[in-house]
Amino acid sequence: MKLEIKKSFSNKVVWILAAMVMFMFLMGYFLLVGIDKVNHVTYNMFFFSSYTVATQFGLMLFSFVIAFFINREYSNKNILFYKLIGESVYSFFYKKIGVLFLESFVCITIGSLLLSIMFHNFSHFFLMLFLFSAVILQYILIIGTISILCSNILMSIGISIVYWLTSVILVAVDPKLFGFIAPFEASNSLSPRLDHVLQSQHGSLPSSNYATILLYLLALLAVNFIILRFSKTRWVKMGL
Amino acid sequence: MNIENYTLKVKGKTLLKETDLAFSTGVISHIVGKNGVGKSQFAKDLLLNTSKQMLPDVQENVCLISSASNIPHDVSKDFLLRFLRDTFNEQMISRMEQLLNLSNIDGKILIKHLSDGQKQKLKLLSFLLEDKAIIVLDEITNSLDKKTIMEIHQFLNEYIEEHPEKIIINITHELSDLKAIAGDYYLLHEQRIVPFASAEQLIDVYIHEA
Repeated sequence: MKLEIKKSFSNKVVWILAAMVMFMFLMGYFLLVGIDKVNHVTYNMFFFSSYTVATQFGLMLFSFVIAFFINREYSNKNILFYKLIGESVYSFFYKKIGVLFLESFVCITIGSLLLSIMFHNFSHFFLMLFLFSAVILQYILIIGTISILCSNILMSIGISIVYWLTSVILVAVDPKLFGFIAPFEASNSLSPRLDHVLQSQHGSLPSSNYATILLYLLALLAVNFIILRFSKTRWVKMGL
Repeated sequence: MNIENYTLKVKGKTLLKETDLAFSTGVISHIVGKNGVGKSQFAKDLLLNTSKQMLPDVQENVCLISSASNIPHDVSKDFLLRFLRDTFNEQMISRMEQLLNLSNIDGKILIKHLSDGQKQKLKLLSFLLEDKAIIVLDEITNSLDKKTIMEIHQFLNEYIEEHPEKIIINITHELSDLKAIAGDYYLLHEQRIVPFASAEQLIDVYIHEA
């Protein structure tokens, strides 16, 4: 992890992540004030709007930095160095996504904390921290998995966007059938439930929603593990 | 290391055909050849075994040092050495530092800001720590200044003397490599790797190649 943390600082990845998280919260505010013409922004409105930005624009916002952090090792021909220091495709990938998630989590925590302090309200702090973290983790897993398969960063970003748009369309067509492939999508059941919970000050999401999110993330991890299993040779070849 | 009837095809193109390869320990085997004849593909095949003709003990014991194997450029020399010390033998690292004369490289700045020669020396140190039996050097003196090339020549001469159990294959364009480092000489010509008795004979054929 030491090498990846160092790399994330020298490549300014951590600052880009921080800027993206800040932009996500700012956009949440300006969408309320600028488009919805809300005069008095409340704590719940702010959180829900920022959450909507994270789920609707998050992939666009984070795809570059996630793909960059992985694809750069291919373009810089560093894979043999990773082999030299004893890394496998698994440890290479999980350390990368571990650092990306850890840094994103710190930024999200700071953002949510500042928002809660500003409004003197912590009623949904942990709920939103969990949801934001889960949303970012899904992006890291999806874009990271695609990036490990593509040596070209533009290809990784392109395929990630196509995957995302396809999942959004499928969920819109039939939320019951395809709902599981994009649980955070606005047309899915989680979003209106969260809106309702945020309005009610002290409520929380039903446990089935938490279970769905955790199962979804575990499914992403499982798919990722299978892909890595078949990418051992490809990983070295693409890095040469 | 002996491989008989070796054939290498890449994307349908035959680069090497039914050629016998024999490289000895304790000497540096130079392979010279024009651009596009397949020298680098041969180097990669030693590691990847796409030809399916490498024995497992070859593939598992190859260390490839080429433009396809870089050290991270987004860390400093000091960080890299500290990091390598966590994994590899301290004594070995210190000896390599000494042989490669690394003390005059600024340890604080990122490797991407160092000269090509300095990067190449750090790369040699890092990859040789792997201590593999077969070392493949692919154009390692390409585009370097004369002083660094001389330092690398000196390093390789000392390294092979200290490690007579190793097989070192040096794929090169630099004819000065052949004169500065004694060893075995091969020319990759017409899909074969042909041995020559001396550097002069090889150079004579090489520069008069069509």
